Amino acid sequence: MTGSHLGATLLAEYDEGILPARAAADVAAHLAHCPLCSETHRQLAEVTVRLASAPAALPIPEDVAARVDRALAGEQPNRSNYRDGKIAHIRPLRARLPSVLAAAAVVGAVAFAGYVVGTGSGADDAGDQATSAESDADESVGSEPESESDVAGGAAAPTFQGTEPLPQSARTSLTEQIQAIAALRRTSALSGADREFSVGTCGAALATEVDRGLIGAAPTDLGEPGAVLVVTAASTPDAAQGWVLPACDATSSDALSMLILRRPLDADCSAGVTTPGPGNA
Amino acid sequence: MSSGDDDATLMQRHVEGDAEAFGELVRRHRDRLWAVALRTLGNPDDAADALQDALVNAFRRAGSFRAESAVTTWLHRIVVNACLDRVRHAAARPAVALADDLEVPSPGPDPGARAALRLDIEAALATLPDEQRVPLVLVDMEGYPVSEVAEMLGCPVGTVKSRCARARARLLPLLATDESRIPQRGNPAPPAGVPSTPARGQGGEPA
Repeated sequence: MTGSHLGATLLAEYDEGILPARAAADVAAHLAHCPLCSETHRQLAEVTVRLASAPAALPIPEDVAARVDRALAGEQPNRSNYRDGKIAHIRPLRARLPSVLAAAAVVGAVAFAGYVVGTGSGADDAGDQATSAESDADESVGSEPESESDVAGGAAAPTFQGTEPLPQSARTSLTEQIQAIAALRRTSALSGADREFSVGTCGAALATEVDRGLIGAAPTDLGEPGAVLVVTAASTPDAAQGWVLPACDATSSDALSMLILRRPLDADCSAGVTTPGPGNA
Repeated sequence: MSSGDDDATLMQRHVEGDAEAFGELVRRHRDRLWAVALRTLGNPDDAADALQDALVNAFRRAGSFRAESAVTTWLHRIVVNACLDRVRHAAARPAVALADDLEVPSPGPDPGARAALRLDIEAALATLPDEQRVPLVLVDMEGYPVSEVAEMLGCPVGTVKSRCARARARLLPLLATDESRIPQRGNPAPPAGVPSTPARGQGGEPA
């Protein structure tokens, strides 16, 4: 405890309205007759004002600007285009998501509800995830327009060492396919049945390039005929990143589509960040 | 050629395959996006990585942009998300120093020493631990509602408020004008001549 004056943290908590009523009343009473703490209180407000009034823009360093330009120069506009026919079906599939999830998908964060929940859920849960992804896909078959069949591609799926092809339905969403690959991976990891779905070399070039662990890969009917879906780890253990690539050895600049899936981030609030509870009594 | 177009038109051109349009959008907004990334992450290396990730992602996913929101809002949010990804990635790494245990150097009574500690905003933000800096920047600088930041971080609203409060308190000696002396956490002695008053909010020491 800090003796006879109020700490800046306590005053800031008071301003945030997160103190218990009794403590807040004590702070208010103290401020009413303590010039020093009133000055601290004023300075806290000044901090907020300085932050809020900082210029919105800062000159980007030339090397960063050049680096971004180079990265973008490697991109091909047509491949970014969900409407150009190659992956046109992703739009109606996204439209099936609840609106909140669809909004999240715009910024790349779909709640990863289908991913293995927690660490103790076991292999059965993971297996169920894969199964339900398939049945979801089946249910949706009749509801999608036939005109999308041209993107399904008739080409024979390439064979991948140690991987099982996913259900080849144009009606299986990218989300569901990523979940299935991730779930199979989790299943095998949890059950020890690695042989059934071991990580092959498909997607290894991409995984190396983006410096993320390779979770799995499978042929996909998303994207162009012969495309593969490579799933890598994302930035956290409970997220995965799905890449639709034209071929197994393709890299990120060739990607036809990319989607990050993660489950709700409750864990991030407590794990990895260490914050003691509020410091007030 | 496209420099006279508004943002939405540039986006449309990009989606239609115009090779120049996205670059024009980026040139138009990159200083703003850079500021977001630098402030959120607290160091230029991570900020550059996040900005590049974000813009490449935006380039590829432009087709998912919905015209009802502003292009700048959309780009901004993609950059914020890329920053959050970086922070989570860093948090997943084993034991970094617990920044919360590091006190901001406590300025002495000499006004000159205190003045020397005053920093620009970016440098001051960089002294904060991630879990305080990120919500503070999003709430106090970028104007996101606390509830939305709580959702982005997967934290309760109260936790976001608490972290913002702690962050502001830590920034006080670095950003506030130093007209008088500021009681520091762990530095209880009031300056001579100031009447001593019991801190009733802090546990009710007797007067």
